[in-house]
Amino acid sequence: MTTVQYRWAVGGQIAALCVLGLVSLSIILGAVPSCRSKGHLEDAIEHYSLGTESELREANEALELAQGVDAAMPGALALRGRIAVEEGNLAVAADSYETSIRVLPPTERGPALNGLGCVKLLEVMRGDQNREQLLEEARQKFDEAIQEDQKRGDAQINAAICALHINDLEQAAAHLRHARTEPQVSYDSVISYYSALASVLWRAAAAGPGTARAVAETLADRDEELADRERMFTRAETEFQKAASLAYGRPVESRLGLSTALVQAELLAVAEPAVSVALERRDRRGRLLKRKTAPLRPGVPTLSLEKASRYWDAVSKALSDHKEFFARRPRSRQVLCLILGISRARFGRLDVAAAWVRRAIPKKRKDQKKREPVSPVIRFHVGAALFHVAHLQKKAGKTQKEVARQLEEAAVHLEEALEATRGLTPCLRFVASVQLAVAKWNADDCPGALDYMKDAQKTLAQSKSARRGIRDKDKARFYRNLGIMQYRDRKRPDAAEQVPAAVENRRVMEAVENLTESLRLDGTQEDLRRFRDRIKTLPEITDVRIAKAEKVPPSVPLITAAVQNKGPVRFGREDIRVRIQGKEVTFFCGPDGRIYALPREGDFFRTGAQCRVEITIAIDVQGRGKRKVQKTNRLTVVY
Amino acid sequence: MERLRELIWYGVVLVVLFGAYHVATSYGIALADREFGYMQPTVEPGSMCFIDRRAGPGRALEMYDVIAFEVYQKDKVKRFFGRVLAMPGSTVYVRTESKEKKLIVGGDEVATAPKGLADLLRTGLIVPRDTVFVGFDRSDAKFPLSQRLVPYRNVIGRVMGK
Repeated sequence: MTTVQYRWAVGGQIAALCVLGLVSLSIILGAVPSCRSKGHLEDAIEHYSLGTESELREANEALELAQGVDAAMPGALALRGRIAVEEGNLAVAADSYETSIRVLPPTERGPALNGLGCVKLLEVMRGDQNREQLLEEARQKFDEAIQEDQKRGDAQINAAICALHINDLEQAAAHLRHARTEPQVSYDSVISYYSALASVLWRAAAAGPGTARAVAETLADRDEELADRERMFTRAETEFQKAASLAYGRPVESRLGLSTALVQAELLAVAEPAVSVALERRDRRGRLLKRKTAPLRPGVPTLSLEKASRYWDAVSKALSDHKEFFARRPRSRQVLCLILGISRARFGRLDVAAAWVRRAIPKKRKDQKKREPVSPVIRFHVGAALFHVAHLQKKAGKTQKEVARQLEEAAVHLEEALEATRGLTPCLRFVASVQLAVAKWNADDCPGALDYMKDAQKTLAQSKSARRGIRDKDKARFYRNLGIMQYRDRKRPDAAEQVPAAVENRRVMEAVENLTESLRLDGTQEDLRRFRDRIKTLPEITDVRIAKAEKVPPSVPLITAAVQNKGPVRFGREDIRVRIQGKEVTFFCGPDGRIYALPREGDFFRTGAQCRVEITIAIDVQGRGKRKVQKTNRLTVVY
Repeated sequence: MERLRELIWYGVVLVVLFGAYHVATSYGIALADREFGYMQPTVEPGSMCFIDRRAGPGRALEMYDVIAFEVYQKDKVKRFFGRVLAMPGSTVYVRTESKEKKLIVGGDEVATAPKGLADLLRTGLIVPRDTVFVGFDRSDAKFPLSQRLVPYRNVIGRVMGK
């Protein structure tokens, strides 16, 4: 053997020895329980991170091996708890986290406490009966986790979700603000963060401007205009989209997508069509360079047609994509259909709007055992929406027949809603009665319409003691319709009344009173004001002249005037005053609404004299809230 | 003298062995997909890159490092290359400056905003712990947001050269 060959042989032996050394080292380390369990745990983490079902199974097996060697291994307990939470095995998860808390030193208990809080929250979400107690326990666990591990934001995010469950939006916003400033969070927690943030913004925007402002202040976001409700809704939508995008391929992605659609639906429900306003910026030729949308009413969210169309498509898609979800929650499906219909109506898409509103109450299919339950409230809203669409169709110039058909359909739903003794609030009952009355009126059923108006009046009287009374807007609409109906119906024959003229007079007066009440409640109804002003509400004094009475001594002049009741002001003989030269004289009433005053000789005149006198006839009905009517004539009297 | 030479020889063999072990475990070669052109011209489609595996799981990465990483797509593992644009714990957001959408991290502009994600990133995105946010050299790259957040465990290594 040459020296070179010898060296290669020895080198090979060394290499072989090294390899053998490595192999034996791994075998020796594998025999040490702590090293073996660590190896199994690493395997489990590796399998778990791949995320598929088969890998999860293998992760479980590796975890069992790891825990078989060391049952109280903190890492294994944490992973066991996490897998159990994902599998919905909450008892195992709670047991793992509780063991972790027992074996770990106080400074490292944070994640386990957070996990235990999550288990409590999941029990709440499952619908456990001890909801309040579980939420309190979860809150305590998250608080402890925050205290023990302040660098990580996971517990803050879960505490925010806990606050959302008790509907404490400001508390949730405060936790989210802390989580944002301590951004050492896991990937799952980032998804939860954006989902919770979106929920807080959604609920705050839906609650009203006051809550929106308070939550925006607590959040202290970079966006200075976040307090604006429209901005808040849009931001909630974006945050849900972001969360869904981050959860791509996970089971939670579908739920987040649905939440995005629900926010869009809420915005469709509250937003008004945006009005385009021209900005000052124009080019050299005077052409407009940019357009901006501005809200009709400040504080009310607005939507452009383009954005609304996008939302309609998104919500419709959500309805078809999540059929199973909506089959379990028929009311949610009905509400979404209603929103799609009403929102389209606002943008003038009337035919499609009516079709979507009708979809809220589906017909029974052959494969269904029983019809989908429809609450009186939903039925009321369907009726009200169809009524509204019919009203808009009338304005848009649709034929009378089409409008009547629509109103008839609306009336059917409103009647069914009113038939339910429970379920409708006094406010909804009132609005339903008024709308039904209008529908009946349009169908030429005047007595029916006035009967429903009486029902509405009864509800109005009853609701005065209620905590949440009827809105002024609805009251104004009621008085408006009632006034118009009473005025138009003033000539209807009524057997109970002896004097038709008096009945008519009373009805006109009532109508005017109701119209005035409506205008008091809502002063923006200019058309109604013009209508009311056209109705004559004052008596008329005409044809003031000298007459000769043959039956009284010859050549006695009588002063006569026609006093006619042209309006609703009732007056009697006692309201009329006749003065000649400022002195009150007696008079008597004749046929055809004429009055006759007979000045006595000696008071003003002498026989054979001729003089010019001032005659004043006044009808004073100020006691009834009307103006005094007075007419003064100068006549030449020959006695 | 002969004995000393032998000892030096054995030493060299040992060093080579450990060196080989170290190179085998710390460095590697990654092939870019033929259809992957988002990192042109840094990484050409179908090219072979030398990577530093030490910059992988649990090892620190630095801003603007070009990395090779794995993405799980429908039970398949795909390999991509990207540039680290944000570190764990930072917030990424998009700001519009004179009609251009810029990606901002920690107050500094780091790249042009990714296509199709500007609206989502306008309100900010927190990068989770043990995760980096990656971008691509071509601004028209279409890549989902969830896959731009790369956990350390999915990082194969830092690209050292072609």
